[in-house]
Amino acid sequence: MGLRRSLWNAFGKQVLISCLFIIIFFLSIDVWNWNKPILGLFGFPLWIWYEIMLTLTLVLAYFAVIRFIWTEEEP
Amino acid sequence: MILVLIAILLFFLLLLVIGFIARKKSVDTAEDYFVAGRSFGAIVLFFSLVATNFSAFTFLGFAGKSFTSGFGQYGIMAFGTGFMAISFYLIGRKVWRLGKIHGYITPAELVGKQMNSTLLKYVFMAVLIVFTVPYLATQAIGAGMLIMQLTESVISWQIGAVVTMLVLMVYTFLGGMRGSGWTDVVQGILMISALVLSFVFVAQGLGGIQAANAASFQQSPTLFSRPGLDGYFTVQIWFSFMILWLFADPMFPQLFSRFYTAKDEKALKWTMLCYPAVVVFVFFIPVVIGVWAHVVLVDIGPSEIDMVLPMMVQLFAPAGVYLFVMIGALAALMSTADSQLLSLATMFSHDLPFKKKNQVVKRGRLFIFLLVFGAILFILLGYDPSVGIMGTLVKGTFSGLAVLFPTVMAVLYWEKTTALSCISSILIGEISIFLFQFGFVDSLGFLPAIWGILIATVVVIFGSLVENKIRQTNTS
Repeated sequence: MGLRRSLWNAFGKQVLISCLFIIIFFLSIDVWNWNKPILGLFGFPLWIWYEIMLTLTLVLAYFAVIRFIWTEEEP
Repeated sequence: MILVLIAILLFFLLLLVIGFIARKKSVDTAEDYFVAGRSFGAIVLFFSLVATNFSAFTFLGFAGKSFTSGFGQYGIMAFGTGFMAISFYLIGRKVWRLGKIHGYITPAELVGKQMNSTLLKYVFMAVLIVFTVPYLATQAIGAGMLIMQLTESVISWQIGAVVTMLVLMVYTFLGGMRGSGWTDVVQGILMISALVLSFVFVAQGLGGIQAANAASFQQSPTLFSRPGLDGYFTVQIWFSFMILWLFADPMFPQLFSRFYTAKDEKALKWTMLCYPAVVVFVFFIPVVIGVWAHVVLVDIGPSEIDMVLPMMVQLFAPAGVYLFVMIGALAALMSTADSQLLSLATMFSHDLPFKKKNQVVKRGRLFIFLLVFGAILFILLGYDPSVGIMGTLVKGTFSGLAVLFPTVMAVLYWEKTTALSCISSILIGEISIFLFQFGFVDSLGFLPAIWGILIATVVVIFGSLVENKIRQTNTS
């Protein structure tokens, strides 16, 4: 149990958060929205709202970095 | 006209006063002058990074580009720049720690000293200088153009550019990084307020957001989808830009140097957290106005495209608001230019092998003066930023700097990295950018920078592995 926890603390969080960033990045390459001028809220294209949501998701991802893997060290 | 001149003078005076106050608070040590004594808290660091990163291109260029291509401009800039903020953790955190431990104040110094290689330091520094100097000159010309537009050609762009350069020279000369950081806060707030005001008045003038979008859509539906009006946003270009900012932005010496200025890691953390939240709406405004411009601006010449945002504001907002927005654009431009000026002066005065080590601040101030003098000379000699080798360098700035990213990451994270592999990575990366940029090799629709980064990464990894293997063989 102790070893599993140490491994998780050492690598697990980094791997999980790295995967989160890779997924968010590839979601930004939204090829499925190409050539689709579908209008959404306030007449803006729907895919713009998608990009906005994805960019705001980055705030949560950065929060995860700060909370789980960015440990402060006194130089 | 008098009101316009008074407003510009008051703005300049405010910046000079801030520079003077920063001077009063400073002590004449290299650490205090060049990196503000590593004292910037979250608010100053955040605005400093925002104002330094968001140049006149953000303010004027985005609107121009969305006018020609459509909403696609928003996606590549907002998400790409928001994603770039992860570099505050990947690079900023390490740079800040190493700076605090070893007293580093320039990017080249860190890379060179960590690898114990003077040659690597100079190669790294040379790339930074080659791609930053022409960019600084274009900022000066941009400022001149804005002042000429504001004063309806009463003041020529040359005089406008020279005066702007002299003002930013004085406050940077006086206040160093502290002056640059504090003016960034004022310039950043001005820039953001000007954008918000622009949005409110233009939207109101076009009958509301929904009506403005409907009218633009009726004009050109392709503005609302990709690949866009001019077919620019292919999937390859989209992918390239989404990833480019992460590699290029932190390599700008004026941004890299900001990492040293943080008071603590909390300041870096807060800046990283707030960055996407700000870009998501700051970048939205110029792009939207650029798209909406299709409703009212029909006959726009190629030379006027970057003035689409001011033209729209002039059409729909009172004169006072238009003046405020133009000063906001000037602020965006100056905040980038003063940071470039300081970072260049820091590199020249600190990284070059001068004998008198204790006169680094005096030398830094001298280089600020010389760089501004050089930029003014360029302007007065009729330098055209769009042609010749300088034009090529400006166009290639992002690609040229992005090639440095693999070296920085290898130096910060991989103990097997060798100086020779870093030098090879930078040189081969730059050569490959040149070959892709000028069509000697087909880039398959991607930006040349993507290939340059890939090649530079492969070279630094394999170069280091091979060199380590040879060393091991020789030892045994």
